[in-house]
Amino acid sequence: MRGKFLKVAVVATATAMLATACGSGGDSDDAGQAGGTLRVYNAEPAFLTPSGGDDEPSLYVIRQLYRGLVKYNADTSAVELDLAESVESDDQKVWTIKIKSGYTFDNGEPVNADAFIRSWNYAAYGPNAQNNGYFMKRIAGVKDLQPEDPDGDGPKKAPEPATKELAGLKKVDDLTFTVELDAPFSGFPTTIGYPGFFPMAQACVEDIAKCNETPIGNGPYKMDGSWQHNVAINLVRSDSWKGEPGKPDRIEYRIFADVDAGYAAFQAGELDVMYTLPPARYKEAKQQYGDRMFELAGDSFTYVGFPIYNDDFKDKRIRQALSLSIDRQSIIDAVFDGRNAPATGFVAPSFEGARENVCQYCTKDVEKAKQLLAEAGGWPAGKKLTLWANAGAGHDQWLQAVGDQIKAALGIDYELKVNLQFAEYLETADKKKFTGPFRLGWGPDYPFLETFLYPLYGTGAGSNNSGYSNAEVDALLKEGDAAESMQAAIPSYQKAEDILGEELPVIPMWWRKEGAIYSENVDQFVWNKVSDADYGATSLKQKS
Amino acid sequence: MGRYVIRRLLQFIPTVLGTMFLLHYITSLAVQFSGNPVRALFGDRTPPPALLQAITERLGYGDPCLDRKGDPCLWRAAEDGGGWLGTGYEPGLFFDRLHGIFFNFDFGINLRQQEVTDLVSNAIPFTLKLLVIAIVFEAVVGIAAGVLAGLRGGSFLDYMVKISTVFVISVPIFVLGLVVREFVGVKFGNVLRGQDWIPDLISVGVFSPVFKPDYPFASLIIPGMVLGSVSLATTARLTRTSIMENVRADYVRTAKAKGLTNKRVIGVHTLRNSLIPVITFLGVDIGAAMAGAVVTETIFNVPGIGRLVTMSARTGESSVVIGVVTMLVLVVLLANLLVDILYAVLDPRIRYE
Repeated sequence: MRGKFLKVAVVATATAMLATACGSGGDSDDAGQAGGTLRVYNAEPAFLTPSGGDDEPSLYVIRQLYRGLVKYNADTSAVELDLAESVESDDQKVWTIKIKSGYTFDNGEPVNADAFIRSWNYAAYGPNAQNNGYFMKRIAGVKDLQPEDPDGDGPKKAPEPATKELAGLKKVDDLTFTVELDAPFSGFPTTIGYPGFFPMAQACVEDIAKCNETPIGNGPYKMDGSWQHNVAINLVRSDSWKGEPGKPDRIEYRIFADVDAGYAAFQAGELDVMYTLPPARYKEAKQQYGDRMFELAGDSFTYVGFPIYNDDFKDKRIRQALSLSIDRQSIIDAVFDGRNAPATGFVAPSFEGARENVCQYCTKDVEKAKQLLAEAGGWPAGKKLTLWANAGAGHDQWLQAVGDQIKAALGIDYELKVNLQFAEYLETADKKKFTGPFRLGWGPDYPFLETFLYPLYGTGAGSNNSGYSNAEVDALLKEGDAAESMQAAIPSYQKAEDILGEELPVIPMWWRKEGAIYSENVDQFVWNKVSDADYGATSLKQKS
Repeated sequence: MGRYVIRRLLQFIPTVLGTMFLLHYITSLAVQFSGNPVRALFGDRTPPPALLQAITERLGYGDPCLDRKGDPCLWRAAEDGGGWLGTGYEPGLFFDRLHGIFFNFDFGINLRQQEVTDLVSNAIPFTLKLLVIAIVFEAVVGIAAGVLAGLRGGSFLDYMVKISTVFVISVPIFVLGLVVREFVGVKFGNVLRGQDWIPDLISVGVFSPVFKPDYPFASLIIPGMVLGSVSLATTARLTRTSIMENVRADYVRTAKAKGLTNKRVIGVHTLRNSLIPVITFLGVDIGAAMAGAVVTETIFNVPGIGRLVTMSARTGESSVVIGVVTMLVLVVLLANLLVDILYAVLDPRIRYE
């Protein structure tokens, strides 16, 4: 045993030295060598079509099978052109997209303007019931494909849309098309790197069920066999891909029903990468795989929202006082083994334009909290503060800690309302029926500040569950949307975030730390700040 | 006999309909009280109402009765006002489901738009393999232990079987499963995998902590043994009692008196007769093993029926739960009927009129 371990250690060191040597050699291949089979943990995906898959396990597979107009830089999360030659606009409203020629799907069909228009239309068309129809919301004419219920209370049949095509998409020539948006949006180029905007082949749209089982991709990998539901998905390097090839020859996704079983398989050496960990095994894993564990304060946001539609929370000083009585770090240490990073702003720290301490009320200061509460006229005597969270997802514990801290600091008694299942909880949120602060989360749709601002705090925006409305914020967000470039938009968004930091429509709690582990077989593990673990770019140690 | 079988088959109808109504009502109540599961698919992103509605309808949660708490979804107001026999109502969601299942063999789709029939046909082979391993393990080990203990009642071996079966019977299967996965699959398995002389089939296949597609049979052996161990104790003890009883029977004494070899006395005369109650038990036990499979398959990540039921119950997929459980009910009913008929075949004293 010992002898064997030593041998492995020596080989590992030698490989590491070799890799370093290559790296210092300048332009030579320092991103690891190609070859080998990468075995990764995955849950059962919902769909393997770009228009359908919007959950983590689906996206991990789709991102290797398909490629889109743009991609994200792994370290800086900046937008880089992938299949697009250019993405340009004069007014941020009508965008002209030119596609590089020569790219094809696995079945030989060309990746041209039609491939994108087809895919986006398919996703947006209501009766196709595609989860990523949501992401087409900015494109002009989307309402015609998702007609509203005329009588508002669930008719027997959804009204038939008048058209199957988005009015905002126009083909110019084979490799050029224009996208007209409902309103100017400077961040549009960042949105189209999301798999919902990836192209689809004609053969795929014609038989979507078959294409879901055996996807016809256009990316660096293609299917080896078809999707073995609940068992495995195997990908091999695709010959038709013209871009930078993937590192492993083969990627095998093993499908697990629960993460504990996956962890057992990893411990037994059956997996090379796990993109997530069972929370209860975190400490053990860190100890055992310390240097092979990857951690990063991610962009998954947890907040406690205020129902501003409720009179108790209309005064911003009340909101500030409640936020000031919470010590985030102590909750993170006690409940989460330190696996979160306290939030002091509203935009993920990894994003361009994110700043620290935007929120002046997000660190514990009991004196100031008491003073603000007194200024606001105090909390109604004898009234209990109701804290909401959905049931069965492990939120009770930390929310109780929040309640205890508020009680200790301000003397406000609280009660937990944690018995609603997720679906009903979300419906309560949609109907604005919360009676007290509520737990919710948010993950970005694209790496652009706006994704953390408008959907949550814009007047009447979809996920604005607080019912927050501020004309100044709306104006600043609009100003950012219409700015002439993504860079130019940042100051406007930052100003809007400053207002939020003062008004606190929600209490920012923390950013989840992403944690992944990889095996001894992995040479270089690549984590993309936007799209998470990048299996195609992860290289394996080559046996010589 | 023929009339008996027909009568039993007719009894299936109310049983199956009753089960289906219960399942239908429970899953409908779940939607009515805990909200539209389609909304949960979108999570924190509030979908446009039109899109939500389109997907809700596509997935079969669009019936307005699912918004009314407590509504059994039996009847709905007829669109044209006439309805069934002029009552103004027409058959509702429950009858739609019955119609789909029995006339079109359409069990509906899950939240991922996959046909329930496909899900089941993908899962069945794994569960069957697991069940076969479990039953074989249970029968071979259980009967062997029972025979050894039964022939030497009160001996050290007898007590050992007694104590070990009490131990196995008192550990819940999910505890046993987790312990085996952790210590046999991971810890002990890692030691084996570190030895070069052990073939891959054993170290990587059999001792894999979870089901492995590369070794579809070998990696099911340990999960199957865990599943079988639940009824192992009952099998062993049933054999033991039965053997003890039969050893003292007249025909065994006769066989011994005739001077037959001990092997033949035990093997043919005693054991064969002692096995009748054991075989009956094993037949009935298939139903219980299906229940155990729900736990074992989840722990060992076996993509069978049990894991399918667990997953769909967690996400509230009505159609999958109704479809799979209805199929299971049919299987258990048929198995019971078969066992009853076999009684008559095995024992000429039993007659069905």
